[in-house]
Amino acid sequence: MRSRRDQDTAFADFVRAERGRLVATGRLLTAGDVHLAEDLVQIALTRVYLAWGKVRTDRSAYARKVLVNCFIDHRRKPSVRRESTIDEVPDGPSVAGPEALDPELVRALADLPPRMRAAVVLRHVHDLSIDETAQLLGCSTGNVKSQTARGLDKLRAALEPTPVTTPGESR
Amino acid sequence: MNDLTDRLARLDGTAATPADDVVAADLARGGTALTRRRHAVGAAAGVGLTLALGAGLGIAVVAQPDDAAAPPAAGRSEGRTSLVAYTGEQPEGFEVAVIPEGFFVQGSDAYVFTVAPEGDTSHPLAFEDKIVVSLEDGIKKQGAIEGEPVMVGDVEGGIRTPSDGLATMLEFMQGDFNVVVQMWRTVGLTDEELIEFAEGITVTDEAKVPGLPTGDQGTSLAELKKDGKIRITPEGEQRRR
Repeated sequence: MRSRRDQDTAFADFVRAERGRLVATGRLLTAGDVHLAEDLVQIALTRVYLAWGKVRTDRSAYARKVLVNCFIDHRRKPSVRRESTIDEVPDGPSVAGPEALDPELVRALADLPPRMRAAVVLRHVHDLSIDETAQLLGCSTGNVKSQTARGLDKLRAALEPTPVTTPGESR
Repeated sequence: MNDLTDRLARLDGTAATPADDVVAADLARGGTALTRRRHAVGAAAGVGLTLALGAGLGIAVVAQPDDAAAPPAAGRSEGRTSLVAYTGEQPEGFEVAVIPEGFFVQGSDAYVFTVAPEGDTSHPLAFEDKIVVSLEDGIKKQGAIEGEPVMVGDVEGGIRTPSDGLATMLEFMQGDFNVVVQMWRTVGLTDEELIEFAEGITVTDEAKVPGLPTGDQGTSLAELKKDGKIRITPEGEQRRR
């Protein structure tokens, strides 16, 4: 039987290896909200710790699933657009995240509904298969296909350059 | 494929290795959650709690043996604490008269102090499972205290639970300051006890408000945290080791 100390050592190694990826995913799911992403990752990692003994294979996938669930649960709360309790003093973003790589795209992602955004991020950023994405989101593969297709359409529309018209052209 | 999916794919791969203190904080949160869960399971077994779900009504009824009769007071989430006189070192910028039993003043500076459960080794500016007392500019806040009106000593304050349900917030004015007390729900004080805790807080002359120009210019909490300037009490330091 593994002791608590063994579990703690293994969990710390897991955090070192996976936290960065989870935060990056969190930042995309929250469309660049660094503080919310950090909160969600902290909650997800706590749940992973609690389930450590039960989840013995592919803890990375499990952690990502928990993170996505935390995100969707959070978005369901009526308080999301109002006040929320802080669990830590807010910091400025200290590490460049995905939003720094392509701010225009991350801004466009923010306009997608949460589940559609999650489907696009998992499928096209993290390159998960349709089956894996469906499993993570707890929906059918057909739903993933339609969500990602519509999501990509919306992103294309948002990113399309606005045609510049001169006064003479409009006549 | 196409330009958009290429751009999306390029967003992957920005994973930074976390610092050791971040890993330690995650570990501490996990450990605390596990301990709390074990206590909850143990307590439930010990008092023979029975949870009966009112099918179709959506009502949860908690029944206890007759000798454990007192029903949970309003506002108490886990019901485990009572207030005791605080005899430790006073935090900078504040004087504290009472704290929940089994808690200690973990860290402080002239802007904020945290009261944490015994055994908590997280950073003093991580607020989960703790009470945090901070200051705001009372002049700006005057007349705009939120929540249900309550009396804190002889001044009017406001108490509220944000919709996320994670914590109870109590605000009241003291001198030029608006004192904000955030109690994480796991602390378990009733609203009345939280008010009693707040009544025992005195803001001293050394207190400051983040961001306000003061003698040495105000500093934001985030800057303090980044610079590691918060002063951890000897008791807090001992627990971090």
